[in-house]
Amino acid sequence: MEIDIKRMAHLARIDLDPQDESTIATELEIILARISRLFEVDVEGVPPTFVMGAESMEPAEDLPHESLCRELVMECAPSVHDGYFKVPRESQGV
Amino acid sequence: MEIRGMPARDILRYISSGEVSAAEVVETYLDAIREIDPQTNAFIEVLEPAARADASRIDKELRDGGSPGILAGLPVAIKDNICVKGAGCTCGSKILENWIAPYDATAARRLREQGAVIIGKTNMDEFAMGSSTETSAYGVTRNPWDLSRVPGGSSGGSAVAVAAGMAPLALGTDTGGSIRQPASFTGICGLKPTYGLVSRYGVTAYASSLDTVGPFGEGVWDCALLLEVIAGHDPLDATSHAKEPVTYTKALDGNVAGLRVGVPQELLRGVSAPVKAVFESTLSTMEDMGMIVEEMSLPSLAHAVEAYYVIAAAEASSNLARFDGVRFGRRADAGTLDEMYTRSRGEGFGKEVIKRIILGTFVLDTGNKDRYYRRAAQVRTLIKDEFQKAFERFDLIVSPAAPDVAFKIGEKIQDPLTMYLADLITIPVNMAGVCALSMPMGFAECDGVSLPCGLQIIGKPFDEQTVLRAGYCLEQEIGAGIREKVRHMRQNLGPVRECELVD
Repeated sequence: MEIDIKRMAHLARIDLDPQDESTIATELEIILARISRLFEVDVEGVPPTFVMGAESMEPAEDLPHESLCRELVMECAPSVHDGYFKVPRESQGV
Repeated sequence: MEIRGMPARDILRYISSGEVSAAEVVETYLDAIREIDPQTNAFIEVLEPAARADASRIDKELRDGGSPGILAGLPVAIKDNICVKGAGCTCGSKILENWIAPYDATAARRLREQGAVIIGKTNMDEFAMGSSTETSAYGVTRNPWDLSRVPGGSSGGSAVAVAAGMAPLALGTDTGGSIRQPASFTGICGLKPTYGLVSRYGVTAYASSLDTVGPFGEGVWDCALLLEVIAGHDPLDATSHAKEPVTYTKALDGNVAGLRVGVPQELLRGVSAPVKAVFESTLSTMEDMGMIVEEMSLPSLAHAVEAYYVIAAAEASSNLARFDGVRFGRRADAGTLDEMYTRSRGEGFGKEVIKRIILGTFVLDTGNKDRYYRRAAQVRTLIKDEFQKAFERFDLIVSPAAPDVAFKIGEKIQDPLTMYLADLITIPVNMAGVCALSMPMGFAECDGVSLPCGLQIIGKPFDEQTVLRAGYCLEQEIGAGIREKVRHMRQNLGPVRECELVD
């Protein structure tokens, strides 16, 4: 199976330059061929393990607790305005 | 008194008895970093003023009769994907170049609470995606045994900091072997704890169902001490297990005769002849110590690498979605919101990270999720079940920690599949969520150079005690010659001379 790199890069919101696009496509093709060995394994009736240690996990108590202060979080942001994250408009001319 | 290169246990004893101050110890290691790191590039950031201030505070506390903790005054280096308040946390990536962590990861906080002095942040493969520390945006880290070789990865900086005598202890993370393989390549010990034993709060997530935080040290005792401090339940990490705390350093002495040790043949495929010879000699020593060594088979391990790269890439594509230029990290100039996302990520991520995000996006795409991701998760169940069954018969499972010794810089970076297969032996441990120690077992010749190679001792979930005890007892048998070679390697490193480092 081939990977449509352009579409995947769009879904992942990554701007790829054409040269990287071609080398990544070649490398992923090789990796995907290796990954296809998974189809040799008989997994009929085997439950998947998506989460590790799920059996010992307990939900946290639903109580308010101390968290990072807003000012500290905002200091990390590239751009803020009036206590909010500031970003460019969604599309030009709107 | 020569502090540099002294075992952590001795440094702690000298500090607590007042024969040496924490400030002197910290200065010694800062000097070592200044002299050696221009050759190795193990540190992304050295926390000089903060380390000096912490050391002075600890000295004062000791003078005043206080108890600053079991790591009082001991310098510790920390991988740069673990948050240390007030320090950078680049994850080896341009996208986090100027980001300063606003809080301590739980592991870092626990170190501070026990008096450790955080001396610096270490280099790593970008977002821990790599096996050689070559994918860092901050340059390659070099192996102190041979500066033309890689130190392994992704925690290569932490491994080199300890191996070259720039820090007595270090923290790393291990998602598919990122502690054990660099420990093997640099001749030191590294432990990948059981999933859930050490909190990942404040650690940048790569693949959340596989990521673990663990210690590096020159010897097994050092790893036991560091694990003792960082292990334990943390309500801030939902996967953190509420186990009774264990004093791992007290569990080291004891009898290992009669321990049943399995050797899975699947983990010996592809191992180089020189490493295999060292491994077989180590098995003989283990038998001489009274352990019962037996060949065995774990057939599903043959597919662990394929399943790993599907699961890790899928989780990475989701975890790294947070780096979008909105709340933290690099933001590219852009006219629209969508352009800002795509440019910030395209400019900020390196090629290996982009490759894995795209692979992850692909295996989670409509129509592919069951075909790849679900199937990989089913294979993981088979691997987990096989380990569980094997541990009904065996107390420990052993293998080399890597198929070969450290390879040359640039040798595998253009060949992704070969690089991925370098983790063949360590990946199954993360897939099963069990624990494993990598400790030096000897030296193997490669191109006329004698290089260290490690033994991997795998244990049952939450049975780090048995793993560490077996490693510690084995170290008493084979460790003296290895330590001598480490001393010799460090003497040869010495201060950097100009003109020596031409790429």
